[in-house]
Amino acid sequence: MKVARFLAERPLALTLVVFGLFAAFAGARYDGILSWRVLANLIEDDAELGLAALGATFVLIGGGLDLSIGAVCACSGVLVATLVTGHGVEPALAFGCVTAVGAAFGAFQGWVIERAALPPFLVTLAGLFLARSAALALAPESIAVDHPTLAALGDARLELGDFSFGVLGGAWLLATLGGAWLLALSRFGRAVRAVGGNPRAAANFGLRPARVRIALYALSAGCAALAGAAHVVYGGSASAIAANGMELDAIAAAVIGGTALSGGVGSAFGTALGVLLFGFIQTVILFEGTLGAGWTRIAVGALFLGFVAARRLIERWARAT
Amino acid sequence: MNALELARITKSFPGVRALDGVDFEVRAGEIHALVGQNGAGKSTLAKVLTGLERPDSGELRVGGRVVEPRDPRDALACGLGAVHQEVDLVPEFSLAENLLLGREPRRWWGIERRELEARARAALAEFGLDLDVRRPAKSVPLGVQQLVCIARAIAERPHVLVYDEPTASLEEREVERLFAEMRRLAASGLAQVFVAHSLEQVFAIADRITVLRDGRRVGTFEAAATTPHAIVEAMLGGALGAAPVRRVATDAAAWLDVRALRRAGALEPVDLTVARGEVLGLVGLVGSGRTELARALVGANDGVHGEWRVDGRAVRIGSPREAAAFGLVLSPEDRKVDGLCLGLTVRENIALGAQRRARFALQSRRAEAELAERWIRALGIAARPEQRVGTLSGGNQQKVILARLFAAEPRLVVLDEPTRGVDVGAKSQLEARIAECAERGLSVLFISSELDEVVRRARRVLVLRERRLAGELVDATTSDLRRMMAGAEASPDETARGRGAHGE
Repeated sequence: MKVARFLAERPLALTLVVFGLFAAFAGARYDGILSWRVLANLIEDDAELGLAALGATFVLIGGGLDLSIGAVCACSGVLVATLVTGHGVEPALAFGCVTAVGAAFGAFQGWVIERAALPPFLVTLAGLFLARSAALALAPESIAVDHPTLAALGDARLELGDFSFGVLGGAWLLATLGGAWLLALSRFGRAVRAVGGNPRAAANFGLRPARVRIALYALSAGCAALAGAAHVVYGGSASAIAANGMELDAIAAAVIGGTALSGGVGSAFGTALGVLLFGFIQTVILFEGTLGAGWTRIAVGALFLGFVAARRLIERWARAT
Repeated sequence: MNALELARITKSFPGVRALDGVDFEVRAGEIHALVGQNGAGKSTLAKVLTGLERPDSGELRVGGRVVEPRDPRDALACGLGAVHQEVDLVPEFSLAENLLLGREPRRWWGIERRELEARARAALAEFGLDLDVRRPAKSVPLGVQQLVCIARAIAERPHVLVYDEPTASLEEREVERLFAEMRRLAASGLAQVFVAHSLEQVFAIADRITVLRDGRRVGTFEAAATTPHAIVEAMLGGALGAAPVRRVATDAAAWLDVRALRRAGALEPVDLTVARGEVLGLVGLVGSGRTELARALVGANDGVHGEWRVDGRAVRIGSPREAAAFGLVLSPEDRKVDGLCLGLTVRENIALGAQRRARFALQSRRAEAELAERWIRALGIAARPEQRVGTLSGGNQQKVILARLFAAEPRLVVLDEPTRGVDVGAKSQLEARIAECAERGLSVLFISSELDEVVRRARRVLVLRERRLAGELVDATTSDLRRMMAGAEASPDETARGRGAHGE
């Protein structure tokens, strides 16, 4: 029962246990799956979702919800592609532009939520429709992006023995470190967790919950826009129908990483771990070889359900003792 | 010069004029109580003072300077600190994080944890609290949490500190501690406004008392020169007859007989019997197992064991639904969480109680409306049937809970702190209503922290201490109860029936 209490008080511990069990199972079954090379690929492949999930984590901790993440990601990918191929803008400048536009769009959603006192579900659902159709209007077809800087970015690697870091993995790592710092050591992070944990107390303490939440939606959409840029770097193309349903993957990863849907609790590292776990499942299915891509979603769904049920059971045990 | 002055403050809500030209002033170093019935406007006035509501007209001066607080943050900046009725802490945060939320000490890398904890410790020490500031707020008792809230408000060095019913969740000992602290702060020159329900507390602490009625100031009284009776008359706006005191005999045969009611770790085995039409009192300090017993009796918690006999027949009760089938219902302590559907209307909430009795799945709306009207009249609920319960004041919510319970026509009601947060007028209405029901054969298990209320209503009183039954007193005085709650064993003559002492 001590175990139950330990696990209940540290939401990340269960994630680590599940990850460990999964890795042990995979390591015993497939040769070479537990290697630096696989890990490096995992990080590189998951950077796009990882960036988006980081933003989702912040919004959830603040007691909100952002359904527009996938659409904003697709829209900003298309925007980057149009700017670079159509107008000859330097990719770095294009990244900055779309991140700013994304953050502004998020801030707008947050402002509507606060001003009109509407549920975030509805406002960000409208945001989803808006961003997705804006992307479609901008680029009905998929756009291939061919630019020397982008190609160089895609190929750049920091070799560390067998392990290597690409630009995307590095960006994700830096963003996660930044997010962790914000949450643990900054006043903004304190305010986010306070607003999510007890909004009334936060207001009475002299914080400004509305401002904090608007900033959170800006942060979330900014992260989603960065994920869109990462998508272009990773795939060399952009499409208005990319990242479909990514917001739900992001929320699921955050929850697996110990973020509470009720707000107030969560961590940046936990979410990164959740994203990696999703990616790892995909890798295992690939190593199995005979299973189709559909099995990835089945495995992810089963894992997710099992995980949240296990956590609830553990909480109950911890309380019973 | 006055520390705080209000001039002609008016505030209207749709359909109600909550404050109507209220003048009010507080001197430096004074503890000024604000009393009135539910709906008299004292909560609204407190909200105006703490920036939660903006007045429609009128002027607010702090230390002679006109201020217009827009929100709680702004109010703080204007020198108006606040301590609220419900504990304002972030449950997941440590006490230190809560104490310094928004004012965290920072270095180049961010928040300095050690400095944060040191400052929090200093703030608590100044307040006379010795606590591990790293503990999460949710892990310390409610009373301590409230003291931490006050320590926090004081740390802002306000000119005026406004307490909105700060004692609602505190034990007697904690109230004493709070009062000692308030006196110390008053001596240092802080002006304090104390919005209160308990006149006993008001007279214990206040220098002056301002009475509000229907959004107007009725008068301001020197506490030393007036009496509780005069204050109640001012609150109710008329002369007050002596309240009828009726206590029901306990000699009738046991209607409910419960043996070895227990729950591991929360309640040691308790035997209890209740006769038809009896009002049985149950007292104990917070944490003594009162609420646990109340919930166990109707099967509201998992892991409860015991033998129930209703009218001599052994029955099995494992859930509130099964309990209700035998006419056992609970009015829970935390009415917002456990007792009411805040989004539904008064009519719908009351009808929920009667639903179990309804012969058809659908009740006619007219029958529901009639039922609601009847109980609104009977209990004097200040609401329309179609008003959402979430918009009512605390006292009226409590009345809606009672209406819903009584609408189900129960045999025994367990009332856990039924008068918490209810004003004096409504309290006597509630008490009268309960007595009436008892006369018609309803049994009541009456749980309350207000001992005078318990001895007034119940002849037989059970005392819980540290999760076990400490004893049973008949015709006890409040000091008897207090002694037993605090730890004295019952002597044989105290438990004997018919002991002569009445009242204190």
